[in-house]
Amino acid sequence: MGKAVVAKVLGEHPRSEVDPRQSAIFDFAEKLTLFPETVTADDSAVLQSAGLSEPAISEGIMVVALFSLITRMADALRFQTPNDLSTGADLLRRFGYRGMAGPWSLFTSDPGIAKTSDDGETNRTLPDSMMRWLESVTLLGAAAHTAATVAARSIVSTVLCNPSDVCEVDVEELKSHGCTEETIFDLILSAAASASLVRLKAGYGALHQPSEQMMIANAGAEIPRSGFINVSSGIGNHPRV
Amino acid sequence: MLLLNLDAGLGKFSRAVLHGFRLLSPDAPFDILKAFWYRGTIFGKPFCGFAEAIMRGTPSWSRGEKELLSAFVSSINRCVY
Repeated sequence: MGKAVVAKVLGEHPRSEVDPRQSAIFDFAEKLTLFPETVTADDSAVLQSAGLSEPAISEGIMVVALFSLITRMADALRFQTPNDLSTGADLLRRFGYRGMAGPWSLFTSDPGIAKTSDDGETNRTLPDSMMRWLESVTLLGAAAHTAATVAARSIVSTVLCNPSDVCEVDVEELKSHGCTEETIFDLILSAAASASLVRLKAGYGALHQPSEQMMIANAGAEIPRSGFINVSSGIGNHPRV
Repeated sequence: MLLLNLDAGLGKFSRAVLHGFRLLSPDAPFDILKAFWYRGTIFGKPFCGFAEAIMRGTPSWSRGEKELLSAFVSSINRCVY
């Protein structure tokens, strides 16, 4: 992957100059990121006609879901961007993603974390286990919702739509209702996880449903509406478009 | 400035490792590490496990292609991180 391709994809050149396989998955990723509720079986048919296999599409969906979560955490919590990005890239090369999981894992390989695997079995179960994990994380916001329902809902919708707008005032409001910083972290995390879950479900809905009618018929059952977070709220009117 | 004081929620060992790390490499992405370590069991470990498996393990796209796709998703999310 040369720098030219990076520049093209990130918008300096018309996308048509990029490899058609890549171009197709980038278009799909864009739609899934911005308007997950509009993704249908037609979109996955376009991908397949561009020569993408089901595992290739599946991986694309998981990348979108993974980064929908972490970008929301980064924006909502205001992660400082390092001056020199190459240090982070270098660490990633040396330790891998797994190396960032805990202080110990920078030095040892932690047996508690899934090992990288190229075998098909793991890759088939990966979306399911990711979905189950995300579902469990969306439940973490319960404590904050119980303590301060209105303020918690406001933070959740901000994290879903415009995470960099989460501000100290929101945090203070929750604290005045007795929320601890840990509870607030969990609330933000649960909202970010539900944004990720929505995209994962929308992507696999499109991939696995043979026709648009069937997808609509199943959509109601597929998207969980847990008591305190309506995961589909706020994703239809993304303000950044 | 981070929105929440994540340092306060980290154990002594984690803080010591971060401190040593900062001396060695001042430009490392500390905030993301703090967030992972703050909620290690429910967030850091599973997230990094999935990230490793998805970004490195699955074979249909090259590592470079997936990094590029992830950078693209971040840019649509207007996130520089």
